[in-house]
Amino acid sequence: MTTTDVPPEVDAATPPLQRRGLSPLMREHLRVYAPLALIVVALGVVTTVYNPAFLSGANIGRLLAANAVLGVLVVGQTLLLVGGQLDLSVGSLVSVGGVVTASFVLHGLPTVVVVAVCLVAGALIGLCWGLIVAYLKVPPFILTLGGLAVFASLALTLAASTPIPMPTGMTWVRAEVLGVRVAVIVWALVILLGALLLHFTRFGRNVYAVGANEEAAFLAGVPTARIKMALYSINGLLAGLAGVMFAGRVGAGDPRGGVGLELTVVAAAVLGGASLAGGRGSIVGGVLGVLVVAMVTDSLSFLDVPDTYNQLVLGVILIGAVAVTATSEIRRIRAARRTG
Amino acid sequence: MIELQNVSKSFPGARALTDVSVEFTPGRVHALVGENGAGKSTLIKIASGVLQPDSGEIRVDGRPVRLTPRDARELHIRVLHQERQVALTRSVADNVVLGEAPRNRLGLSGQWLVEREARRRLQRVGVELDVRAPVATLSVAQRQLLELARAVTFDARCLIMDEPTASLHPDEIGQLFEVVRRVREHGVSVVYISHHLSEVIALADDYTVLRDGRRVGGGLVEDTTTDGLVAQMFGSEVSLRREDIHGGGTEPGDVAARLRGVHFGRRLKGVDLDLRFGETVVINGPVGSGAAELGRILSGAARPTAGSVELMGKPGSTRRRAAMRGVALIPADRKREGLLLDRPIHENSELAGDAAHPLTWYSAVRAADRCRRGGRRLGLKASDVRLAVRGLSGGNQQKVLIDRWLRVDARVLVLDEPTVGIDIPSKAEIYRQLRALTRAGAAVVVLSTEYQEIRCVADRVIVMRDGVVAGEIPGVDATEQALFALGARS
Ligand SMILES: Nc1ncnc2c1ncn2[C@@H]1O[C@H](COP(=O)(O)OP(=O)(O)O)[C@@H](O)[C@H]1O
Repeated sequence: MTTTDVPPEVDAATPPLQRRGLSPLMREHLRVYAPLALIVVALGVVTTVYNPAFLSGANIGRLLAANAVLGVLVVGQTLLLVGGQLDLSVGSLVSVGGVVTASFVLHGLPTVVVVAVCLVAGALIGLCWGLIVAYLKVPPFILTLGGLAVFASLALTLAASTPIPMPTGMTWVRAEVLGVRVAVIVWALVILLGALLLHFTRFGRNVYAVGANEEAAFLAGVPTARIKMALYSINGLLAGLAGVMFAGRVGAGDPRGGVGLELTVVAAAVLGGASLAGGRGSIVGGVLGVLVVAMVTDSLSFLDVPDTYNQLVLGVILIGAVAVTATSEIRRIRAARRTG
Repeated sequence: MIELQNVSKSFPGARALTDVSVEFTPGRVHALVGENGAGKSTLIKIASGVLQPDSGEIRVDGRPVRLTPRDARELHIRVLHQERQVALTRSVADNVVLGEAPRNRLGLSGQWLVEREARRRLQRVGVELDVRAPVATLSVAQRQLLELARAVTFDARCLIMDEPTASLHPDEIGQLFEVVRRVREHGVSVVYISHHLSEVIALADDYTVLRDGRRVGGGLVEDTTTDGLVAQMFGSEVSLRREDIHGGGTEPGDVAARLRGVHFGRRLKGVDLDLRFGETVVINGPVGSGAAELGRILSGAARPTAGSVELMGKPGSTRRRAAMRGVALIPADRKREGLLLDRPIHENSELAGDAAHPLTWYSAVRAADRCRRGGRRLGLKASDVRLAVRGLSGGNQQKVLIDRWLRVDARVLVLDEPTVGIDIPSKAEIYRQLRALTRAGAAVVVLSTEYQEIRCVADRVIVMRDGVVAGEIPGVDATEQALFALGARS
């Protein structure tokens, strides 16, 4: 019989429910990670041959610190994408966060208060997105695209269109602990917490379920609305944190600082195996995606390629990566049809 | 007349057919039955020239022939595949008269002539379709009717239908049967493959049972029953008879769910229902009778527009709260509403548990171990529980869904058409499992339109008609005639 409804039983020769080797899901993850890791290593090698300064400890530290903002955002976006959600407003939120941070610092507010305000405000904005998506059923793409515009304009208005310098504020972001920049440590902590949440709690399983099949999840009792609100809140909180880190890194509140960041974030997450259709992706993948983006931009400048080519190269890699996953996906589904 | 005589066929590592003989007679519907892997597909591939037999003979009208796919086409032996062969972009008319350009007496041709000819041909087999509609806009069922109409107009001698009803609604199936009967009247021999034995009984004239590549039975359909077919297909191992499965009832306990005056839009018009622990209640009624809506209301997935719902003594509320209180829902559309197709089997089987306790630690390794143990209890056949659930057969997918709710000790189970598209051994296993749960004190509601299923599991049957309860009968008395009489009475 060749109907999809009644595929033949799994080969009777294999003992039932046997456990052998690497988990199939893990193998699938490796298929995503291996090419990314390869790109990172290859770029590293090529660039180092050309310019040995690339592989110096100082340069790697700088590279990581420069991408910590992106890295923090990718963790939040990956969580969202796995849950079948999307937030494009993060770019503008980073701008607003930076502007608010700088002006608060100039008003003499203590660092702790500034950070807390940014985190809470970010989380609340995220919660709003979550409420609207969950209860008013507005498509996340449209909603957060609107949010992107609204907050971009807000950042410009708040800062009167010019960066607000704060040379002495938020210097902890640039400080080093045991030779590692604090921004990188913060990023690492965010990765750790994100991975714990997504991969080692049952909350994470609920996120995958909502992304993979929301109707089935709902009927199984998953609190889909609350899961979505949680995801958007976490992402908003991380966007607030990224805003503070961004202001700290450049020593100013730049109202245009986050322009275009949302696309890089989504690109990195998708490179790392997350799917815009939901139910797919991992934190490790997202981090690798960021590293690829970072390596490409950085090694191109080390190779003296004009940085006008950055976007082009990244775009090509993204299309390539998505095409590879898509074709292997199609092959997998066809194989599943054939073998039952 | 097409005859296969003592046909055998081996594949590397598998003997698909051994010494099988069948005849397909013009003007009769011949059903091929057998479980998965019995050799049905191989047989029709040989009959349509796609495969050559290792030994044995094929005769067409008494003459031995060697068939290639081309010969088969020239001899008008057609295989009707589910969604193929029709040119999607063209209209129904173009497809019916494909390749011909009808002319009128004046030798003129034109689209209107094509349409008139198409209408005439569709009428001949009683198919009602808009001849101008593009095929792409037709439903799966309509496409099959179109295929049937085409087969007749192209003078098919033998028409092979492989699981034609797999994705059709019950009313569409009725329509398909009507057309198949007309096609038969035109002297075509129809070969019909189906897992639905009740369809075989309703439609076919002759039947052949295959088991492990051998012909183990056959004859006139009027001389057998579904139970008889099951016995021939599986020997004594599998049975779908009430005596072998039901195992008697227990004294029902407390009320698990109480519905009073429940309305749901215009679909339900004042339904009262008491469901007790320790009984299986089947709700029977065709699409539109309100049975499906009743299932959703019982499980909290839909709210009544009027009336009251009590679950275990508390007012019913959202699906989530109902799930937390142990009300399982197993939807009819497993793939769209039940499973996370691309997630591992073990995740699918733990979804209800994960949903109930999101703020606890999770370990994929331990979840997989739990699933292996749980799966064994249900007779789940999977090479690795960490594989995507998509690859399982329908029966195994359904076992995963049932396991999902046994994990969280669900006490009330609502199952909507639980064995649609499932092989017979899995059906028997699922029925036995439901009976065991009932005896252990669970309250089970099965929404079903399949008489065999109703006979196997029901303690009592509630028949729905037009949004109201048309009547109730005890499971033992639930014959097809009794149910039909209740549902049809007006
Ligand atoms: N192309 C093939 N190669 C190897 N084995 C096959 C092939 N086709 C069918 N078989 C085997 O032949 C047997 C009969 O299969 P099939 O005719 O598809 O049964 P059914 O259609 O009744 O499910 C099965 O054991 C199957 O594994």
